[in-house]
Amino acid sequence: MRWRQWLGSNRLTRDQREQDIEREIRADLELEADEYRDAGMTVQDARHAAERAFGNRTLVREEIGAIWGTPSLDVLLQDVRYAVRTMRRAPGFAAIAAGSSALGIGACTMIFAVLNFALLTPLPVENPYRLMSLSELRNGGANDFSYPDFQDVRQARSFEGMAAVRTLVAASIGHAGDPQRHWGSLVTANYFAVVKPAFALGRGFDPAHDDTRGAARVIVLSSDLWRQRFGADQGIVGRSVSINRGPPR
Amino acid sequence: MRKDESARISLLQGTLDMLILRTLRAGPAHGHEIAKHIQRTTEDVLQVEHGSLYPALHRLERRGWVSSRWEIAKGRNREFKYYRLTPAGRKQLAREGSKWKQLTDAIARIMWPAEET
Repeated sequence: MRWRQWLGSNRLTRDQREQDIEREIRADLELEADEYRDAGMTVQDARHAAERAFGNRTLVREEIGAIWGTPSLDVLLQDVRYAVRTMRRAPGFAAIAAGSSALGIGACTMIFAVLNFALLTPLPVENPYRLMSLSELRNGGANDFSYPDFQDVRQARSFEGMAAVRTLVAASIGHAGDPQRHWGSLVTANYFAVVKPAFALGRGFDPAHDDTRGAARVIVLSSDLWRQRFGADQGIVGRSVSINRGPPR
Repeated sequence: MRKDESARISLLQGTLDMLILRTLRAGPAHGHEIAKHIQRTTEDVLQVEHGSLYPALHRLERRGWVSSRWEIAKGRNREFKYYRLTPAGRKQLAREGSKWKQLTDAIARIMWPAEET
């Protein structure tokens, strides 16, 4: 019964509702006029008399429109009360129903979160399925490579390319005389040539120029940092900032 | 045909809704029929203003106590919006009816005490 009430005449659009009301009033007026005519009035007089008897049509139309227009809180309350009463009558069933819903929703959410992270959103790099990370197993745990080991492995040419990363390095980046600490990674100059991430602006490092002693230090900003700290400045590429109070380059 | 003004009684708030539901217990009817029925049954003591009849019908429909459908009237080739009582409306009518019974009985006991009649 309840859903029919929601889906039934509540389904009418605003225009349909107005037409429905207008049609209903017109039908009433015609019937009333017929009666006056049967009582001996002329067609014209009967119509006027019917309209007079009905009263202010605009007012009635507006009143009915308001009845349907405002969301009826008491109908909603009735539904809530009905639901609560039903649940109270069978608390065990209600608890089991709520419990299984909660479990189901929880499980689905968790599975989706994992799937989303692992499968649906691949790393934003050119070829995420051919990218892997290497670490050294020592003392029963994964450890970082030493730099000489890294150089040895790189020379073996088992991979198309190989870059080294040292994550979670803190650096102070000074911009407009305001140094702030950010977390970043130190990477070898070929890092971007190997990983091939998507760039919003500019390029990564150039091994030919950037990998030489004494060359200017170069940083690549993450998208988040670029937005937060530099206001997503489109002309940022080539700008100098100071790193760890070093000379602004 | 109509009684003079002094003989008419204006409807108390909420009474019209109950009278409409009671009228529909006999079967589906459109607005005009409902108004005519109430007037005729009370020998024109109760006049149903159409200005309050139609909003009341829509209010009842919104609350789920009546449902409506456009249908062709018997013996005419014209469509009217027929209202019918829903099961929820039937229950509401029973509730309202017993409330009114209690009220009128209580008033009657004070106005016309048993020993005087």
